[in-house]
Amino acid sequence: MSIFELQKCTICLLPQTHETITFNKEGICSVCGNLEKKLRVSWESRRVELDTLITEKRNLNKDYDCVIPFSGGKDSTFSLYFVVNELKLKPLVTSFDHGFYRPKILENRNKVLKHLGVDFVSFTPNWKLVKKLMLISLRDKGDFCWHCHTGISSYPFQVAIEKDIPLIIWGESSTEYTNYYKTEEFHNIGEDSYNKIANLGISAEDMQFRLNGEFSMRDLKPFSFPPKEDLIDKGILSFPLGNYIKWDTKKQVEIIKSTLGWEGDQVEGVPPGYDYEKIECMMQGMRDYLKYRKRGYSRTSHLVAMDLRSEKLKKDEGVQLIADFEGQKPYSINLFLEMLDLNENELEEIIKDQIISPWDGKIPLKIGPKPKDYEAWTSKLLLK
Amino acid sequence: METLFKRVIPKILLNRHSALGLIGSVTTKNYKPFKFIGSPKSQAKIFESNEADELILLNIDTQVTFEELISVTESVSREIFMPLSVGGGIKTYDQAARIFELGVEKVIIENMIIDKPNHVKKIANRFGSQSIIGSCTYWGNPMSNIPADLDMKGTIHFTKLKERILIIEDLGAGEIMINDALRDGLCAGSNIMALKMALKNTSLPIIDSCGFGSVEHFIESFRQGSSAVAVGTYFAFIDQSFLQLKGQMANEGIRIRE
Amino acid sequence: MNTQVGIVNLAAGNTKSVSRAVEVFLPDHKLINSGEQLAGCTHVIIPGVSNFGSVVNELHSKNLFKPLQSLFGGDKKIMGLCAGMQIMGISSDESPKNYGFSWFNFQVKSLVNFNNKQLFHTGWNSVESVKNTSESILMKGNFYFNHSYHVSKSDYEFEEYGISRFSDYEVVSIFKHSNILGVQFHPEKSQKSGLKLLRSFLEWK
Repeated sequence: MSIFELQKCTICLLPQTHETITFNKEGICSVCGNLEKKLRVSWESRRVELDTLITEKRNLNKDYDCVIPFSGGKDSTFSLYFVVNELKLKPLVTSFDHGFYRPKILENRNKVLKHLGVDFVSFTPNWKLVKKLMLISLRDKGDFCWHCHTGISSYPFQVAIEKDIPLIIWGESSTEYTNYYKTEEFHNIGEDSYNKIANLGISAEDMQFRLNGEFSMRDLKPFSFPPKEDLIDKGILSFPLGNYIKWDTKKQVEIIKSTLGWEGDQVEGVPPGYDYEKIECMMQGMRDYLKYRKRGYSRTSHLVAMDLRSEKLKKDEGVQLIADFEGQKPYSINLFLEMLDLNENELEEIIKDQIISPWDGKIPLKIGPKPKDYEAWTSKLLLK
Repeated sequence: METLFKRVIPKILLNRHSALGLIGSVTTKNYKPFKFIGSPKSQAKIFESNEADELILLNIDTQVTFEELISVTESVSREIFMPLSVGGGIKTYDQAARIFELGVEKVIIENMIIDKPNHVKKIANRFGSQSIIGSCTYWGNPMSNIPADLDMKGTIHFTKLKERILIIEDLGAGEIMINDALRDGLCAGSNIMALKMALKNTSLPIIDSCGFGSVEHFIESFRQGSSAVAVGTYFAFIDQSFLQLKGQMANEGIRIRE
Repeated sequence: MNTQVGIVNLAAGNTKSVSRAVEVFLPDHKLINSGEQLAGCTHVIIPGVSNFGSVVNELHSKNLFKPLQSLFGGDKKIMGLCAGMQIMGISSDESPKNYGFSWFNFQVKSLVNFNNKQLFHTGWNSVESVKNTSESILMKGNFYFNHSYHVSKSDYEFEEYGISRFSDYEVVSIFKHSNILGVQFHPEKSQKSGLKLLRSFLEWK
């Protein structure tokens, strides 16, 4: 089916190929339905629950009150800000360096960490292994970010266990844009979400087999979710802040821009006016492109959907934005291919098997503009 | 049976990985091991998180012993809270009894049907018919011969499928699983002709197995009347989880558990 | 939780799965092999695969039948799963010579089609609430069933109960009455809904 024939939600325009979507009789999708429940949530009482939880878990004899997984993007920056300024906790800020942080985000991280005054650790995995993992994950699942999803989901737990820190506080709840969990469930982030959302159906143990024994479990440790006994033993509780406070992206971005000097950036395939979204990663354009090829919608649709739900956009405006910005080949595609030593035909072979029916997965004709910091990407990624 | 939900059952196929020295999970093509995709225990955990309806664990490696199958079954059953069916080299009543002791719901038996039919009856009497899935692997092209290497493994010709199904029902199995070795791993759809024939000749629930490559294939099989589909390759190489699949099927009106 | 749970140890392999499910919430539980062991328990679970006669006979041979039977209306909370629920009635067509606890006046009957051929209610089905007043133990959801004999809706007026539709039958799939919770399905095989139900039983005061 072409993009016009796919069934779309009558409110937010997300198509039937979106993860976890179902439609009711009126053609309204389940993600909208989940959010409708959010309107009935009493945020005051949830905040009280958060405060109670923290009081129970906090132990001033330990080195830190909590781990804050941090990329420098809008959500983790706001979470960190909230934890330091509102909850007044002492965090250990952790970052899993997937290898693709852009210059602007590194500046943002520097500013934010210094403004807030916090301890910070970062981990960068073996680049040779990362490239191998990207290729396997691209070939097997049409998504090259396995190392990033699994590393980001596992590293904070490894740190919390090692340093005996009882709380891990994340940012946005996934119920804001998917149906993996329901709003009323208070879902925690842990092995279940590692297996359900993060790892594409491949754990580190599984990847060992897919690598054909070329790397060992020792090498794959950074991408492994720790055993649940270790978490229970240390009494570690991990949850998104979005379970307990009302998530308002635009308001939060305003706060971090004005108080911390956080700055947005231009992202391939994203309309202007959304300079706060997904600005961390050089490969974001390629990621979104692959999603478009697989499912027929991408970053613009996702952003428009959120704004349609909160009525910040009118439907015809949303339709226009999607028509203008979605479905372009990113400028960075050649850099991506060179880095992984692939040609475009090989990429097409891989994409062809990943298309989610009934979408037809046609190759778009337009190519997007060159990103401003492109030269920095080539010098960082291509070792010459 | 219309009131029950249709079921999607992932298959974890066991094979020894020589370099790693571990028993892994493989996908197959034409009933031969194709690629290693992971660890059985980890895959079970992932399917549990993704709320698969049931799980099938099959030993397809003659070099993996029955004791090793017991060991893998034990480690898998610890990770899941859904029905588990185990098969592959279960040759006797005693072996089946040992599998049930681990908390497994059903055994999948194939060669026992021909080699030791009395054992099948004994299992049915002691554990109930609903504890037995009678499996039947067939070569899905009525016009060609079974390839020599599959012939030795007990694969039957399409023309013998009806006869075998009747034998399985007669011995007291509770469900029948039909596996098209020709379509296996090709992701081009399951054998609807065989399914229709099976449905016509037995009132037992049918598990349609082998060949699924897209949502449309599942939907077609269910619409024809299968109670369940058993899936090996599908989840291994696509960014489509269970929840996503179910959402799509529900949208098409299939009575699937959500 | 202050719950001390005992799981009756029956040979049919079900005990292991039930234990594993209970362990999600309570790391410690007792396996009950004798009447004396019931003393320290606040909650008791009677597992069972679908074979009325086997369960009754095994309970008698372990001298557990009378001690369990005497728990009706008492302080302990009792949960029966599948055949463990069926034995709470008078008897079953499956094994007419065996008698259950007779806590409730129901007879367990066969599931058959119009040709009198045995039917198996095997697979996932939904439970609909008919009478449900307690907020804690919800009588609806999707659960895994595996049985060929059943308790019919018309057999007994439980305080609270839910049914499932199978073929032309309305099977009683869950009931709560006095200190008893009976479920025809297998919560230990019903993933999230099953675990939720188990938890609400363990939290039932």
